[in-house]
Amino acid sequence: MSIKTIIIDDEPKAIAILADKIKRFCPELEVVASISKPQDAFDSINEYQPDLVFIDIAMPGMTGFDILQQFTHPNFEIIFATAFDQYALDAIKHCAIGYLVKPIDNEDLVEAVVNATRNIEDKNALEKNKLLIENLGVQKFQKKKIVIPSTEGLEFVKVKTISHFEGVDGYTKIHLSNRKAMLSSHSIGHFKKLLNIEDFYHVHKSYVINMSFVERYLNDGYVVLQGDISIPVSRAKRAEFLNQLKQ
Amino acid sequence: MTNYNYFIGIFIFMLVITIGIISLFLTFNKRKNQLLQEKLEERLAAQKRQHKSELNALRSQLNPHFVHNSLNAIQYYIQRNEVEISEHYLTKFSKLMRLFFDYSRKKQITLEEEISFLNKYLEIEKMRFEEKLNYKITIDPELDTDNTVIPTMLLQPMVENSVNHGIFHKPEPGFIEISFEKDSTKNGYNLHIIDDGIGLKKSKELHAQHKTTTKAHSSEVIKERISILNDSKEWHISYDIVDRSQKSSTTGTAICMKFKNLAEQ
Repeated sequence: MSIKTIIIDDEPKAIAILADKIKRFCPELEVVASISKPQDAFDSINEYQPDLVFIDIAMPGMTGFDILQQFTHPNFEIIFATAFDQYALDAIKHCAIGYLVKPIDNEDLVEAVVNATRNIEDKNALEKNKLLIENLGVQKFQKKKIVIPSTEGLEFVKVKTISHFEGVDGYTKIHLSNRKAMLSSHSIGHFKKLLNIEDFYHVHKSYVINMSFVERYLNDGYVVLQGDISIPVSRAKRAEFLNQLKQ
Repeated sequence: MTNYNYFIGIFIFMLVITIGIISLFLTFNKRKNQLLQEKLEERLAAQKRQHKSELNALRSQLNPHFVHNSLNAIQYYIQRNEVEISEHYLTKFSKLMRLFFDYSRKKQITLEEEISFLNKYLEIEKMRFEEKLNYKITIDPELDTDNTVIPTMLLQPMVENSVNHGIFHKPEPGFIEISFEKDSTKNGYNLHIIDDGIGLKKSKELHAQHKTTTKAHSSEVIKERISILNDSKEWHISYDIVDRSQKSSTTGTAICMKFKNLAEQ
Protein backbone atom coordinates (compact mmCIF):
# COMPACT_ATOMS: atom_id res chain seq x y z
CA MET A 1 0.00 0.00 0.00
CA SER A 2 1.41 3.36 -0.87
CA ILE A 3 0.66 6.25 1.46
CA LYS A 4 -0.18 9.57 -0.19
CA THR A 5 1.96 12.18 1.54
CA ILE A 6 2.28 15.97 1.50
CA ILE A 7 5.15 17.97 3.01
CA ILE A 8 4.55 21.54 4.22
CA ASP A 9 7.56 23.63 5.23
CA ASP A 10 8.47 27.22 4.40
CA GLU A 11 12.14 26.28 4.00
CA PRO A 12 12.96 24.54 0.72
CA LYS A 13 16.01 23.02 2.43
CA ALA A 14 13.86 21.40 5.09
CA ILE A 15 11.56 19.97 2.41
CA ALA A 16 14.56 18.59 0.51
CA ILE A 17 15.97 16.97 3.66
CA LEU A 18 12.70 15.29 4.55
CA ALA A 19 11.89 14.21 0.98
CA ASP A 20 15.30 12.62 0.68
CA LYS A 21 15.00 10.80 4.00
CA ILE A 22 11.55 9.53 3.03
CA LYS A 23 12.93 8.17 -0.22
CA ARG A 24 15.69 6.34 1.62
CA PHE A 25 13.95 5.09 4.75
CA CYS A 26 10.20 5.14 4.10
CA PRO A 27 9.68 3.96 0.50
CA GLU A 28 6.04 3.17 1.26
CA LEU A 29 5.33 6.92 1.34
CA GLU A 30 4.52 8.60 -1.95
CA VAL A 31 5.15 12.34 -1.75
CA VAL A 32 2.48 13.86 -4.01
CA ALA A 33 3.16 17.51 -3.18
CA SER A 34 5.66 19.71 -1.34
CA ILE A 35 4.37 23.10 -0.26
CA SER A 36 6.57 25.97 0.85
CA LYS A 37 3.80 28.58 1.16
CA PRO A 38 1.63 27.77 4.19
CA GLN A 39 -1.14 29.81 2.57
CA ASP A 40 -1.37 27.19 -0.21
CA ALA A 41 -1.64 24.24 2.16
CA PHE A 42 -5.43 24.26 2.55
CA ASP A 43 -6.17 24.07 -1.19
CA SER A 44 -3.46 21.53 -1.81
CA ILE A 45 -4.65 19.16 0.92
CA ASN A 46 -8.21 19.44 -0.39
CA GLU A 47 -7.02 18.70 -3.89
CA TYR A 48 -4.82 15.68 -3.14
CA GLN A 49 -6.72 14.21 -0.16
CA PRO A 50 -3.48 12.85 1.35
CA ASP A 51 -3.27 10.11 3.99
CA LEU A 52 -0.34 11.75 5.75
CA VAL A 53 0.85 15.36 6.02
CA PHE A 54 4.15 16.57 7.46
CA ILE A 55 3.63 20.11 8.79
CA ASP A 56 6.25 22.53 10.06
CA ILE A 57 5.01 24.62 12.99
CA ALA A 58 6.79 28.00 12.78
CA MET A 59 6.23 29.45 9.31
CA PRO A 60 5.97 33.02 8.02
CA GLY A 61 2.55 34.57 8.42
CA MET A 62 0.82 31.41 9.50
CA THR A 63 1.71 28.50 11.80
CA GLY A 64 1.20 24.79 11.22
CA PHE A 65 -1.60 24.94 13.79
CA ASP A 66 -3.32 27.67 11.76
CA ILE A 67 -3.34 25.34 8.77
CA LEU A 68 -5.01 22.59 10.78
CA GLN A 69 -7.55 25.06 12.16
CA GLN A 70 -8.76 25.91 8.64
CA PHE A 71 -10.30 22.44 8.32
CA THR A 72 -13.68 21.41 9.67
CA HIS A 73 -13.05 17.79 8.80
CA PRO A 74 -9.27 17.18 9.08
CA ASN A 75 -9.19 13.43 8.47
CA PHE A 76 -5.53 13.17 7.45
CA GLU A 77 -2.81 11.81 9.72
CA ILE A 78 -0.30 14.50 10.75
CA ILE A 79 3.35 14.44 11.74
CA PHE A 80 4.41 17.88 12.95
CA ALA A 81 8.01 19.02 12.60
CA THR A 82 9.66 21.78 14.57
CA ALA A 83 13.12 23.03 15.44
CA PHE A 84 12.18 23.96 18.97
CA ASP A 85 8.89 24.81 20.55
CA GLN A 86 8.15 23.25 23.90
CA TYR A 87 4.64 24.59 24.19
CA ALA A 88 3.63 23.33 20.76
CA LEU A 89 5.23 19.94 21.36
CA ASP A 90 3.33 19.50 24.63
CA ALA A 91 0.04 20.29 22.89
CA ILE A 92 0.81 17.75 20.15
CA LYS A 93 1.83 15.00 22.56
CA HIS A 94 -1.35 15.43 24.60
CA CYS A 95 -3.32 14.48 21.49
CA ALA A 96 -1.08 11.52 20.59
CA ILE A 97 -0.25 13.14 17.26
CA GLY A 98 3.14 12.40 15.73
CA TYR A 99 6.03 14.88 15.73
CA LEU A 100 9.67 15.20 14.73
CA VAL A 101 12.32 17.60 15.92
CA LYS A 102 14.81 19.12 13.48
CA PRO A 103 17.45 18.17 12.53
CA ILE A 104 15.48 15.00 11.89
CA ASP A 105 16.86 11.74 13.20
CA ASN A 106 16.38 8.81 10.78
CA GLU A 107 15.22 6.43 13.48
CA ASP A 108 12.70 8.96 14.80
CA LEU A 109 11.34 9.38 11.29
CA VAL A 110 10.90 5.66 10.77
CA GLU A 111 9.21 5.27 14.15
CA ALA A 112 6.86 8.20 13.49
CA VAL A 113 5.94 6.79 10.09
CA VAL A 114 5.31 3.29 11.51
CA ASN A 115 2.97 4.83 14.11
CA ALA A 116 1.30 6.96 11.47
CA THR A 117 0.76 3.94 9.21
CA ARG A 118 -0.96 2.09 12.04
CA ASN A 119 -3.09 5.15 12.79
CA ILE A 120 -4.09 5.45 9.13
CA GLU A 121 -5.33 1.85 9.27
CA ASP A 122 -7.17 2.60 12.52
CA LYS A 123 -8.62 5.79 10.96
CA ASN A 124 -8.31 7.84 14.17
CA ALA A 125 -6.83 11.01 12.68
CA LEU A 126 -10.03 13.04 12.63
CA GLU A 127 -10.67 12.60 16.36
CA LYS A 128 -7.08 13.47 17.34
CA ASN A 129 -6.90 16.50 15.07
CA LYS A 130 -10.24 17.80 16.29
CA LEU A 131 -9.04 17.40 19.86
CA LEU A 132 -5.89 19.40 19.11
CA ILE A 133 -8.00 22.18 17.58
CA GLU A 134 -10.27 22.11 20.62
CA ASN A 135 -7.33 22.15 23.08
CA LEU A 136 -5.63 25.05 21.27
CA GLY A 137 -8.67 27.17 22.05
CA VAL A 138 -8.53 26.36 25.76
CA GLN A 139 -6.11 28.11 28.08
CA LYS A 140 -6.32 26.10 31.30
CA PHE A 141 -4.75 22.68 31.11
CA GLN A 142 -7.28 21.14 33.49
CA LYS A 143 -10.03 21.98 31.01
CA LYS A 144 -8.30 20.19 28.15
CA LYS A 145 -8.58 16.59 27.09
CA ILE A 146 -5.74 14.18 26.52
CA VAL A 147 -5.54 11.04 24.46
CA ILE A 148 -4.89 7.79 26.31
CA PRO A 149 -3.92 4.83 24.15
CA SER A 150 -5.80 1.91 25.68
CA THR A 151 -5.85 -1.73 24.71
CA GLU A 152 -8.82 -1.16 22.39
CA GLY A 153 -7.90 2.15 20.76
CA LEU A 154 -7.69 5.78 21.77
CA GLU A 155 -9.61 7.18 24.73
CA PHE A 156 -10.22 10.92 25.01
CA VAL A 157 -10.22 11.91 28.64
CA LYS A 158 -10.83 15.30 30.27
CA VAL A 159 -7.77 16.20 32.35
CA LYS A 160 -9.90 17.39 35.26
CA THR A 161 -11.50 13.96 35.62
CA ILE A 162 -8.16 12.15 36.09
CA SER A 163 -7.32 11.61 39.73
CA HIS A 164 -4.05 9.71 39.37
CA PHE A 165 -1.99 7.29 37.31
CA GLU A 166 -0.75 4.05 38.80
CA GLY A 167 2.01 1.95 37.23
CA VAL A 168 1.28 -1.79 37.34
CA ASP A 169 3.66 -4.28 35.71
CA GLY A 170 4.60 -2.09 32.79
CA TYR A 171 0.99 -1.01 32.22
CA THR A 172 -0.70 2.06 33.60
CA LYS A 173 -4.00 2.22 35.43
CA ILE A 174 -5.73 5.59 35.06
CA HIS A 175 -7.99 6.33 38.01
CA LEU A 176 -10.86 8.69 37.28
CA SER A 177 -12.89 10.88 39.59
CA ASN A 178 -15.95 8.66 39.22
CA ARG A 179 -13.93 5.85 40.82
CA LYS A 180 -13.68 4.02 37.51
CA ALA A 181 -10.28 3.07 36.14
CA MET A 182 -8.97 2.36 32.68
CA LEU A 183 -5.90 0.48 31.56
CA SER A 184 -3.31 1.77 29.12
CA SER A 185 -0.69 -0.36 27.45
CA HIS A 186 1.86 2.44 27.95
CA SER A 187 4.12 2.41 30.99
CA ILE A 188 3.85 5.09 33.66
CA GLY A 189 7.00 6.61 32.21
CA HIS A 190 5.03 7.62 29.12
CA PHE A 191 2.58 9.59 31.25
CA LYS A 192 5.32 11.14 33.34
CA LYS A 193 6.78 12.62 30.17
CA LEU A 194 3.39 13.49 28.74
CA LEU A 195 2.32 15.40 31.86
CA ASN A 196 5.52 17.13 32.69
CA ILE A 197 3.68 20.19 33.95
CA GLU A 198 2.81 21.61 37.32
CA ASP A 199 -0.75 20.28 37.27
CA PHE A 200 0.58 16.78 37.74
CA TYR A 201 3.14 15.53 40.20
CA HIS A 202 5.14 12.39 40.10
CA VAL A 203 5.10 11.56 43.84
CA HIS A 204 6.37 8.00 43.65
CA LYS A 205 7.90 5.72 41.06
CA SER A 206 4.49 4.12 40.48
CA TYR A 207 2.25 7.16 40.95
CA VAL A 208 1.54 10.42 39.14
CA ILE A 209 -1.21 12.48 40.78
CA ASN A 210 -3.40 15.36 39.63
CA MET A 211 -2.54 18.22 42.01
CA SER A 212 -6.08 19.56 41.94
CA PHE A 213 -7.28 16.34 43.61
CA VAL A 214 -5.04 16.73 46.67
CA GLU A 215 -7.00 17.07 49.91
CA ARG A 216 -4.35 16.70 52.59
CA TYR A 217 -0.84 15.55 53.31
CA LEU A 218 -0.09 13.17 56.15
CA ASN A 219 3.23 13.47 57.96
CA ASP A 220 4.06 9.80 57.56
CA GLY A 221 4.48 10.36 53.83
CA TYR A 222 1.04 9.90 52.34
CA VAL A 223 -1.02 12.29 50.29
CA VAL A 224 -4.79 11.95 50.42
CA LEU A 225 -6.74 12.60 47.22
CA GLN A 226 -10.45 13.31 46.84
CA GLY A 227 -12.46 10.21 47.68
CA ASP A 228 -10.13 9.26 50.56
CA ILE A 229 -7.48 7.66 48.41
CA SER A 230 -4.05 7.52 50.07
CA ILE A 231 -1.02 7.59 47.82
CA PRO A 232 2.54 7.10 49.13
CA VAL A 233 5.04 9.89 48.57
CA SER A 234 8.57 8.57 48.19
CA ARG A 235 11.10 9.80 50.73
CA ALA A 236 13.24 11.59 48.18
CA LYS A 237 10.26 13.53 46.82
CA ARG A 238 8.71 14.72 50.09
CA ALA A 239 10.45 18.05 50.60
CA GLU A 240 9.97 19.11 46.99
CA PHE A 241 6.37 17.95 46.95
CA LEU A 242 5.54 19.91 50.13
CA ASN A 243 7.06 22.98 48.54
CA GLN A 244 4.91 22.49 45.47
CA LEU A 245 1.80 22.10 47.64
CA LYS A 246 2.48 25.40 49.40
CA GLN A 247 2.51 27.31 46.15
CA MET B 1 22.74 63.54 107.32
CA THR B 2 22.60 66.19 104.62
CA ASN B 3 25.87 64.78 103.34
CA TYR B 4 24.33 61.34 103.15
CA ASN B 5 21.24 62.66 101.29
CA TYR B 6 23.55 64.60 99.04
CA PHE B 7 25.44 61.41 98.07
CA ILE B 8 22.23 59.48 97.51
CA GLY B 9 21.03 62.38 95.33
CA ILE B 10 24.21 62.28 93.27
CA PHE B 11 24.06 58.50 93.08
CA ILE B 12 20.48 58.52 91.80
CA PHE B 13 21.33 61.32 89.39
CA MET B 14 24.31 59.34 88.03
CA LEU B 15 22.21 56.20 87.83
CA VAL B 16 19.50 57.98 85.83
CA ILE B 17 22.11 59.48 83.49
CA THR B 18 23.82 56.09 83.02
CA ILE B 19 20.55 54.33 82.33
CA GLY B 20 19.66 57.15 79.96
CA ILE B 21 22.94 56.86 78.11
CA ILE B 22 22.72 53.09 77.92
CA SER B 23 19.17 53.11 76.63
CA LEU B 24 19.99 55.87 74.16
CA PHE B 25 22.95 53.83 73.01
CA LEU B 26 20.80 50.72 72.67
CA THR B 27 18.12 52.56 70.70
CA PHE B 28 20.67 54.10 68.37
CA ASN B 29 22.41 50.81 67.94
CA LYS B 30 19.13 49.09 67.16
CA ARG B 31 18.20 51.79 64.69
CA LYS B 32 21.65 51.57 63.12
CA ASN B 33 21.37 47.81 62.77
CA GLN B 34 17.92 48.23 61.32
CA LEU B 35 19.24 50.68 58.75
CA LEU B 36 22.16 48.40 57.94
CA GLN B 37 19.81 45.49 57.60
CA GLU B 38 17.52 47.47 55.29
CA LYS B 39 20.47 48.54 53.20
CA LEU B 40 21.73 45.00 52.99
CA GLU B 41 18.31 43.75 51.95
CA GLU B 42 18.07 46.48 49.35
CA ARG B 43 21.44 45.52 47.99
CA LEU B 44 20.52 41.86 47.95
CA ALA B 45 17.29 42.66 46.13
CA ALA B 46 19.18 44.73 43.56
CA GLN B 47 21.69 41.93 43.17
CA LYS B 48 18.91 39.39 42.76
CA ARG B 49 17.29 41.57 40.13
CA GLN B 50 20.58 41.89 38.32
CA HIS B 51 21.23 38.15 38.38
CA LYS B 52 17.75 37.44 37.14
CA SER B 53 18.16 39.89 34.32
CA GLU B 54 21.53 38.46 33.38
CA LEU B 55 20.03 34.99 33.33
CA ASN B 56 17.21 36.22 31.12
CA ALA B 57 19.70 37.93 28.85
CA LEU B 58 21.63 34.72 28.59
CA ARG B 59 18.45 32.85 27.75
CA SER B 60 17.33 35.39 25.20
CA GLN B 61 20.61 35.17 23.36
CA LEU B 62 20.96 32.56 20.66
CA ASN B 63 17.61 31.00 21.35
CA PRO B 64 17.21 27.26 20.86
CA HIS B 65 15.24 27.87 17.69
CA PHE B 66 18.30 29.39 16.09
CA VAL B 67 20.57 26.56 17.21
CA HIS B 68 18.33 23.80 15.86
CA ASN B 69 17.45 25.58 12.64
CA SER B 70 21.14 26.15 11.93
CA LEU B 71 21.97 22.52 12.54
CA ASN B 72 19.07 21.59 10.30
CA ALA B 73 20.48 23.70 7.48
CA ILE B 74 23.88 22.04 7.95
CA GLN B 75 22.17 18.65 7.75
CA TYR B 76 20.91 19.71 4.32
CA TYR B 77 24.42 20.18 2.95
CA ILE B 78 25.63 16.94 4.51
CA GLN B 79 22.77 15.11 2.84
CA ARG B 80 23.68 16.70 -0.51
CA ASN B 81 27.21 15.46 -0.06
CA GLU B 82 28.48 19.04 -0.21
CA VAL B 83 31.48 18.34 1.95
CA GLU B 84 33.14 21.75 1.78
CA ILE B 85 30.02 23.78 2.46
CA SER B 86 29.02 21.49 5.34
CA GLU B 87 32.46 21.82 6.85
CA HIS B 88 32.47 25.56 6.35
CA TYR B 89 29.17 26.09 8.15
CA LEU B 90 29.88 23.56 10.86
CA THR B 91 33.11 25.28 11.82
CA LYS B 92 31.48 28.72 11.57
CA PHE B 93 28.70 27.52 13.83
CA SER B 94 31.19 26.03 16.26
CA LYS B 95 33.13 29.32 16.37
CA LEU B 96 29.97 31.23 17.09
CA MET B 97 29.13 28.86 19.97
CA ARG B 98 32.64 29.21 21.35
CA LEU B 99 32.36 32.99 21.34
CA PHE B 100 28.94 32.78 22.89
CA PHE B 101 30.21 30.71 25.83
CA ASP B 102 33.23 32.93 26.13
CA TYR B 103 31.35 36.24 26.11
CA SER B 104 28.55 35.08 28.37
CA ARG B 105 31.11 34.96 31.18
CA LYS B 106 32.26 38.52 30.55
CA LYS B 107 30.62 41.79 31.47
CA GLN B 108 31.81 43.70 28.45
CA ILE B 109 33.76 43.21 25.24
CA THR B 110 35.30 45.55 22.68
CA LEU B 111 33.20 46.80 19.78
CA GLU B 112 35.59 44.96 17.49
CA GLU B 113 34.67 41.68 19.17
CA GLU B 114 30.96 42.50 19.19
CA ILE B 115 30.92 43.34 15.49
CA SER B 116 32.77 40.16 14.61
CA PHE B 117 30.30 38.18 16.73
CA LEU B 118 27.32 39.79 14.94
CA ASN B 119 28.92 39.08 11.58
CA LYS B 120 29.35 35.40 12.42
CA TYR B 121 25.79 35.18 13.70
CA LEU B 122 24.36 36.81 10.56
CA GLU B 123 26.45 34.63 8.30
CA ILE B 124 24.87 31.53 9.83
CA GLU B 125 21.38 33.02 9.50
CA LYS B 126 22.21 33.77 5.87
CA MET B 127 22.97 30.10 5.29
CA ARG B 128 19.37 29.38 6.26
CA PHE B 129 17.58 32.33 4.65
CA GLU B 130 19.86 32.67 1.63
CA GLU B 131 18.83 35.56 -0.65
CA LYS B 132 15.91 36.36 1.64
CA LEU B 133 18.29 37.89 4.20
CA ASN B 134 20.69 40.69 3.34
CA TYR B 135 22.65 42.77 5.79
CA LYS B 136 25.31 45.38 6.12
CA ILE B 137 27.31 46.55 9.12
CA THR B 138 28.85 50.00 8.83
CA ILE B 139 31.36 51.46 11.24
CA ASP B 140 32.26 55.10 11.57
CA PRO B 141 36.03 55.32 10.81
CA GLU B 142 36.33 57.83 13.67
CA LEU B 143 35.26 55.16 16.12
CA ASP B 144 38.11 53.30 17.79
CA THR B 145 36.50 49.87 17.93
CA ASP B 146 39.52 48.23 19.56
CA ASN B 147 39.41 50.53 22.54
CA THR B 148 35.69 51.06 22.94
CA VAL B 149 33.63 48.59 24.94
CA ILE B 150 30.02 47.43 24.99
CA PRO B 151 28.08 45.27 27.49
CA THR B 152 27.86 41.64 26.34
CA MET B 153 24.67 39.85 25.32
CA LEU B 154 22.86 43.01 24.36
CA LEU B 155 22.91 43.50 20.59
CA GLN B 156 22.63 39.96 19.28
CA PRO B 157 19.11 39.39 20.69
CA MET B 158 18.02 42.65 19.02
CA VAL B 159 19.43 41.58 15.66
CA GLU B 160 17.85 38.16 16.15
CA ASN B 161 14.51 39.91 16.72
CA SER B 162 14.95 41.72 13.43
CA VAL B 163 15.56 38.41 11.68
CA ASN B 164 12.78 36.47 13.41
CA HIS B 165 10.07 39.08 13.70
CA GLY B 166 10.88 41.29 10.78
CA ILE B 167 12.47 39.35 7.95
CA PHE B 168 11.08 35.86 8.65
CA HIS B 169 7.46 36.89 8.08
CA LYS B 170 8.21 39.09 5.08
CA PRO B 171 7.44 37.45 1.73
CA GLU B 172 10.12 39.41 -0.19
CA PRO B 173 13.84 39.58 0.59
CA GLY B 174 14.69 41.71 3.62
CA PHE B 175 17.54 43.97 4.59
CA ILE B 176 19.09 44.67 7.99
CA GLU B 177 21.43 47.55 8.45
CA ILE B 178 23.53 47.94 11.58
CA SER B 179 25.59 51.07 12.01
CA PHE B 180 27.92 52.35 14.69
CA GLU B 181 28.91 55.97 14.84
CA LYS B 182 30.99 58.02 17.23
CA ASP B 183 29.28 60.82 19.12
CA SER B 184 30.85 64.07 20.29
CA THR B 185 31.66 62.85 23.83
CA LYS B 186 34.58 60.70 24.88
CA ASN B 187 33.70 56.96 24.95
CA GLY B 188 30.25 57.67 23.58
CA TYR B 189 28.74 56.18 20.47
CA ASN B 190 25.41 55.68 18.74
CA LEU B 191 23.99 52.52 17.25
CA HIS B 192 21.20 51.89 14.76
CA ILE B 193 19.62 48.58 13.87
CA ILE B 194 17.20 49.10 11.02
CA ASP B 195 15.29 46.45 9.12
CA ASP B 196 12.69 46.60 6.37
CA GLY B 197 10.69 43.65 7.70
CA ILE B 198 7.01 43.60 8.60
CA GLY B 199 7.48 45.98 11.53
CA LEU B 200 6.76 45.92 15.25
CA LYS B 201 3.01 46.34 15.01
CA LYS B 202 2.38 43.52 12.59
CA SER B 203 4.83 41.25 14.36
CA LYS B 204 3.04 41.83 17.67
CA GLU B 205 -0.31 41.12 16.00
CA LEU B 206 1.00 37.83 14.66
CA HIS B 207 2.28 36.90 18.08
CA ALA B 208 -0.99 37.77 19.75
CA GLN B 209 -2.68 35.32 17.38
CA HIS B 210 -0.23 32.58 18.18
CA LYS B 211 0.24 32.64 21.89
CA THR B 212 1.61 29.20 21.33
CA THR B 213 5.07 30.12 20.24
CA THR B 214 6.66 32.54 22.69
CA LYS B 215 6.70 33.34 26.35
CA ALA B 216 7.99 36.72 27.54
CA HIS B 217 8.79 38.93 24.58
CA SER B 218 12.51 39.34 24.25
CA SER B 219 12.19 43.12 23.93
CA GLU B 220 11.02 43.20 27.57
CA VAL B 221 14.17 41.34 28.57
CA ILE B 222 16.27 43.87 26.65
CA LYS B 223 14.58 46.86 28.33
CA GLU B 224 15.03 45.35 31.79
CA ARG B 225 18.68 44.69 31.13
CA ILE B 226 19.31 48.25 29.95
CA SER B 227 17.61 49.67 33.02
CA ILE B 228 19.86 47.58 35.26
CA LEU B 229 22.98 48.63 33.36
CA ASN B 230 21.92 52.24 33.87
CA ASP B 231 21.32 51.64 37.59
CA SER B 232 24.84 50.26 37.92
CA LYS B 233 26.19 53.78 37.20
CA GLU B 234 28.72 52.25 34.83
CA TRP B 235 26.65 52.94 31.73
CA HIS B 236 24.23 55.43 30.45
CA ILE B 237 22.29 53.78 27.63
CA SER B 238 19.22 55.12 25.87
CA TYR B 239 17.04 52.82 23.81
CA ASP B 240 14.37 53.75 21.27
CA ILE B 241 12.45 51.35 19.12
CA VAL B 242 9.96 52.51 16.50
CA ASP B 243 7.79 51.03 13.80
CA ARG B 244 9.05 52.72 10.64
CA SER B 245 5.58 52.81 9.07
CA GLN B 246 4.65 55.51 11.59
CA LYS B 247 7.09 57.96 10.09
CA SER B 248 7.30 57.11 6.43
CA SER B 249 5.78 54.87 3.81
CA THR B 250 8.35 52.13 4.42
CA THR B 251 7.86 49.19 6.75
CA GLY B 252 10.19 47.71 9.32
CA THR B 253 11.63 48.39 12.73
CA ALA B 254 14.28 50.90 13.73
CA ILE B 255 16.25 50.75 16.95
CA CYS B 256 18.32 53.70 18.00
CA MET B 257 20.66 53.50 20.97
CA LYS B 258 23.11 55.90 22.59
CA PHE B 259 25.92 54.47 24.70
CA LYS B 260 27.96 56.36 27.25
CA ASN B 261 30.54 54.48 29.23
CA LEU B 262 30.66 56.20 32.63
CA ALA B 263 33.20 53.83 34.18
CA GLU B 264 35.99 54.86 31.81
CA GLN B 265 35.72 58.59 32.01
